[in-house]
Amino acid sequence: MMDTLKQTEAGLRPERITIPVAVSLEVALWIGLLVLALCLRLANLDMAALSDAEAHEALAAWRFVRLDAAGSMPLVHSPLTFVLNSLLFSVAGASDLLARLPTALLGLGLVFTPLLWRRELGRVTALLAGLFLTFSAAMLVDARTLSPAIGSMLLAVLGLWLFRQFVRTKRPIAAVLATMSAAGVLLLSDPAGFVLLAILGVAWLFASVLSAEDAPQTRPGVWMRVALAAWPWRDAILAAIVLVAIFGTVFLLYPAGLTQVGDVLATGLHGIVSRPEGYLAAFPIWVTLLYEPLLWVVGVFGVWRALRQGAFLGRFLVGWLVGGLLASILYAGAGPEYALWLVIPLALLAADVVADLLRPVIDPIWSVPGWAVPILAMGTAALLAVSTINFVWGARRLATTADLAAVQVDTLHLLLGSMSLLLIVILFFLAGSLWGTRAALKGIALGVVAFLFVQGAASAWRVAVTNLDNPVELWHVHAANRHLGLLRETVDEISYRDNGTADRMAFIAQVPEDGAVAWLLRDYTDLRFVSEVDRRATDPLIVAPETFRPDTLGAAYVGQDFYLTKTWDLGSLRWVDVPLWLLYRESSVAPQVSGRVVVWAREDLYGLPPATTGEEIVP
Amino acid sequence: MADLFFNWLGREGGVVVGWWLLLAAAGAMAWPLGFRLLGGLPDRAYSLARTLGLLLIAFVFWLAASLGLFQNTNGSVILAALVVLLIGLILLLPRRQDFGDWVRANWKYMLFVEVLFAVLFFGWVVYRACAPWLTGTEKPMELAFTSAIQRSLTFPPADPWMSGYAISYYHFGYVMAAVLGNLVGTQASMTFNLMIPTLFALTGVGVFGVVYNLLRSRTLGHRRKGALMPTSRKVAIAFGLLGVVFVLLLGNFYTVLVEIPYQSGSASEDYLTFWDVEERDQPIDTPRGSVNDWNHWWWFRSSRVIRDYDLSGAPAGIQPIDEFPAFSFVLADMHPHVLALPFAVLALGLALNLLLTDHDATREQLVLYGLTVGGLIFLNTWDGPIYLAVLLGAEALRCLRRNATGRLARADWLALLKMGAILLGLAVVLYAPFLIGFRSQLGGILPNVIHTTRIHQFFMMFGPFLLILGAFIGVEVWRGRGEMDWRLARNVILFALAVLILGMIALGLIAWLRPEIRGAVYSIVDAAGGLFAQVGVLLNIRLAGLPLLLLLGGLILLVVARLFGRAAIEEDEFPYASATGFALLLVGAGAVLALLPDYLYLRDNFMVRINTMFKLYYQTWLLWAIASAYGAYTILFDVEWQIRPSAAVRTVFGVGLAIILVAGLSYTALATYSRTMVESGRAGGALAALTLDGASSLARGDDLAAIRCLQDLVGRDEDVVLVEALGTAYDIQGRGRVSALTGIPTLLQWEGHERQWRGPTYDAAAGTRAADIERLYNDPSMLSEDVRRIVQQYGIDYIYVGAQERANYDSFGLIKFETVLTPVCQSGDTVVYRVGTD
Repeated sequence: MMDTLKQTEAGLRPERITIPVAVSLEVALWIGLLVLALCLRLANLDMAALSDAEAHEALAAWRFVRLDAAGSMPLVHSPLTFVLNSLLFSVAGASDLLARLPTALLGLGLVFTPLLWRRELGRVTALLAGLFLTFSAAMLVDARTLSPAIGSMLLAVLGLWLFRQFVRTKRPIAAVLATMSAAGVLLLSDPAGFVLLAILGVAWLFASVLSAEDAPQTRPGVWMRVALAAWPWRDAILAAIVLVAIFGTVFLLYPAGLTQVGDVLATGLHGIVSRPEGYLAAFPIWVTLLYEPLLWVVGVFGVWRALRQGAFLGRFLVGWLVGGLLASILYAGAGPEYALWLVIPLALLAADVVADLLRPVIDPIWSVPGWAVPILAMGTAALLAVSTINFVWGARRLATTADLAAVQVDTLHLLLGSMSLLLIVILFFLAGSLWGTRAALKGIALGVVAFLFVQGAASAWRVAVTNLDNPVELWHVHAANRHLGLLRETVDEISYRDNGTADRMAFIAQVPEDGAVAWLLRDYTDLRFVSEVDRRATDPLIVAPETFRPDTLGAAYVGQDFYLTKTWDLGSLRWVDVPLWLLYRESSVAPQVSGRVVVWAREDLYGLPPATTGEEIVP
Repeated sequence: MADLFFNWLGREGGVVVGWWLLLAAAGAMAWPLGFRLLGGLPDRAYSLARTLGLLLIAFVFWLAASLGLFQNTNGSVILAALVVLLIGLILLLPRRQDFGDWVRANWKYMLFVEVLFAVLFFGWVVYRACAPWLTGTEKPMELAFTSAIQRSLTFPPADPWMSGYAISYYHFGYVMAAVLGNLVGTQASMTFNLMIPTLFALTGVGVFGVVYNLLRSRTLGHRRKGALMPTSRKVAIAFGLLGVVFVLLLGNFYTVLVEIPYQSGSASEDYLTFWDVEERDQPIDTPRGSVNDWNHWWWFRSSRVIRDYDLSGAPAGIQPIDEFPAFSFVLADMHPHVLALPFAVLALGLALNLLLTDHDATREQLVLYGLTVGGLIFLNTWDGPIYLAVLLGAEALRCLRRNATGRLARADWLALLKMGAILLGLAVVLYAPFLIGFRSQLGGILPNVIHTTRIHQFFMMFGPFLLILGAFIGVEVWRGRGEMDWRLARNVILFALAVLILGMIALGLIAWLRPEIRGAVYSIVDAAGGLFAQVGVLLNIRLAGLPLLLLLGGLILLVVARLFGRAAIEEDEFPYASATGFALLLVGAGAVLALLPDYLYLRDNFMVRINTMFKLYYQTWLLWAIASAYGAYTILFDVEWQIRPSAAVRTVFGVGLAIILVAGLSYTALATYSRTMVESGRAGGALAALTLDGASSLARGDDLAAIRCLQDLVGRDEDVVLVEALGTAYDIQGRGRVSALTGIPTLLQWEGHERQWRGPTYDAAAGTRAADIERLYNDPSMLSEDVRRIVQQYGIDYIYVGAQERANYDSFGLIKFETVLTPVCQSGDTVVYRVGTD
């Protein structure tokens, strides 16, 4: 009976529906990449104060949202960032983290754009490209520092994919969206958006010229003409105009915002002839060479491979690289943030090479075990690491040279470093004798890739986070003081003493209305920006440049200075300093403070305990 | 001189080239739209592209700025340009094949136009670099507008000479100048001297294009039996250039008839009395053989050849102005009538396109025409109605040709009315932000009873064209013999006269209802000895004007008779070519405009016909110059041998034309020499450097240094008020220079002009500003109630104390600023003080 009961219960129990959930390795890797990329882009995002350039963009959004904010609204360089920041500030208030968050998330999106090209690239190549972009210095710095280049690149890549979709499916919506993306690149995201469009144009031309001998139906000129003839121009242009109008005016809430759209173009055009102070010529090239050695070393092989294979996408990426190089040289306003012009194609080309390296070696003559190449790679990487460590020791010793006539050379470490490199050569021959040249080459190559990848990742974190305020990093021409937040704390303290609150003090500041200091003081609605401090001023607080002296003011003041930026002259490097600088961005010549501001507190407030107003004081 | 030139080129050449490139870019942006909408013109509006581009881009920019969508930044202008380009490309897209074909077939012509523009532009740039001064006449006012608009971030731009108010003047041309100046990055004092050559070159290329298109249309649109080889491009180009000479370079006959005889001492008193030009009616004491020794600004007299007298027989207190383009560019005032000149030529191009198009105007074309008419109203209000009438006249001609009956049907008249209403409506709607706030001194139309133009003085002014057009009309009457509709012409003239006379009576009656006019008339009549005593004088005055009435009336009669010629009109046998009809239309329109000031004038602060004659004669010159170029062609080179005058006639005409050219060009040659070499001192050996920056002519040394310091100190987004010494109109001391150079609004300047601009609202706006400025400077105490009130009432931020202030105000009053205020700019004795908030 019990059995019957059990059987009856079994019959009454509803069938459990099972949905098979299978997470493939690829998906898991992408999820892991997402987590990694997210961490890298969001961790300590507000560790350093906003620079002048970042503050300019953030203040525009802040003053749009807070009508009573002190100062006038500056014209932004990226209406896209302006809209995103405005929306975020209106919901969550303003902070350094929130100011940088939208760009960081756009940067995250850019990391995953290789997924769009998975079919053409292959699973492994796409994944590797995502990995390289995750740890790319240019991607990381741009994403973490409100760079408009991130937005324009993301829109450009999306636009390319949409264009491809239209060519393949002839669906009008793809064409309309592609046109909108192009309009966004040109007018909404970045002053040099038109340069990016020109680069893509060069890329297409390059690929077309190289494909001139291909079969007619596959020639780019042919399918481009077909695509353009079928393009829904009227709808696409109308949609683009609506997009620009909507975004430019912040959903019609800011009609004068169209001025910013025009100014994006004007700034970009001005960059054709004007190089910002302190920027090197062809800056993006130098930056990628220094911070993305993996991409260059492997990417060059990728160029050769792409040209040999003859696929359109490969030729397009090579053309993109060529266009990026030309733009870096010819466009005077090209700053380090435009390293993305080179990083994107290099990453995809390099990923293709590395994907090929990861394929198992199938050799008809040699029997290559599965663990051979990885072991070889690990060994190579280890030897490279040892070599590097020794060279770093040697470089440090070299850098201590006081008199160039008597150079200090650490021969022991240099010898050890060289020997490590020699060991790699020996390892190569050893492996070659065991498993064949192909396996040996692959192993060595992978080891080099792994080493450079780790180096690059470390370098990226250093330039993006650790050395964000160090102008010895080539990237940071005018490195902002990461501790500038102390200025705000000082002002808050004086404000407490004045009236018991953190943001209700009326005072004056002789600083740019759109700079880092103005951003720090954004909550003070009674702040007045002046071009010159009135000599009869008796305000509780005066923020002024270091040249200002309060001797003639109407009251006595006590001052505390804060440095704003530091600069460092690349030309100050002696040749003995170069190796250490290349490896660790260290220099015997310290950076110089290039801008200071002084907070002058009225003497009667200085030294007083905070005033009590009966209100809860929230620090 | 060569050293000076190359030195200048090295310093300012880049700016000049940049400016030229901008204009080229403006043309490139607009030409797709012009190609599509102005397809009736044989050159597809290529010669008009720059002017069209400047108009469209400035319009889009100004409208968006006025509606709060744009700020006055370079980016906004670039965006406006992109909008224009986008619209043009969208319109052109279906016809891109045509575009490519046309460019391939006409690239040489395009190159020629570019070279012509470059020659005209760079040529006049050199002229201005030799004579860059910004003093005299109304240049400070024009500079002030340009500075203020360059400085204003928002529109409407602030009035630099009445703080707290927007500019109340037709300032579209200054917007264009300011836009170009900001894009290139020049100060207003240089913008001014780059805009003059711009206007010169745009006008020249535009005129060339209109005449060229007129001639080429003879080939492309009109066929008649016995035609010779079609009008060659070379002939069309040659007469196009002749048109440029007629409009831009030709002077009136004043120089050869009066000035040279006067200065050389060869003219008798009777001779000079006959011509009766002010300051030239008595022989000179010491003859001056060389132009180096002639009177200062002798060339100015050529714009004052018409002389009016009052009822007592004395010369009128305010004499009429009879300016012409060559004078305008020699003087180089950037006044609205000069700023509007290229756009008036554009309107003529549009009218020609209307005529040459074989279908009704499309919607897009109507918008373009309306936009142009409205633009002319915003540039120089008087021009709007004139060119609206010319456009409608061209449309009427097109209807005539389409009907092939020699008459306009009722439906045609209704269509014309409708078109006029549409164009006027578009002009009003598109330029509403300007029209809504525009106030002026104009207070209606009054009859002109007292002043008429004597025919010999009219000949001195328009002689070059009267001779050519007389021959042209004569040849046309000969060509149209047997086809002229004399009856209709007679009826039209009589009707027009009746309307004119009845209109004068009606206006007189209406004006009599105004007490101030009644009072003015009484005082004039009383001063002249009473009404009955003046009847005879008045009759004599009208009789003196009769020859001119007969001349111009006769011209109008002949034009009407020819245009509405009766004929058995068969296919391809219309009595005249479209181009001929257009030229006759210009002749008739010019004659009407020249006749009007003898009977009517627009009431303004002057209460005489000075401005009416000025504005209408200026357009007459333009219309007749273009008609003359065509007339010369059709007499000398007409394609149709059956109706070409005899060789003898052509020879005589050719010789006469040469004489006219020599006589007219003598003015321009001598005047430009005087300006560049004599007035600058170079003829006397002085090595005056060339420059396009005329600031040092207004302020020098410490003065200029302090002004530039102030300009650098005050940001564009700062709403500040400046006070400087109050100046009068055409202030020779240079008061008003600080606000003119910086664009920073001052309390008040040039009261007379402000009164003209603001009309009846002036008193309420100005209040006691003039007296308050004096109080502010003269009061010995900064703490006095008056001074504190003045500072607070007007929100004064900066007080300028320089040489003019020290010369015009009490030194004790000026001392108070030193003791109380903070000096923010100082150079020598010139100080700019900042007024604190307390």
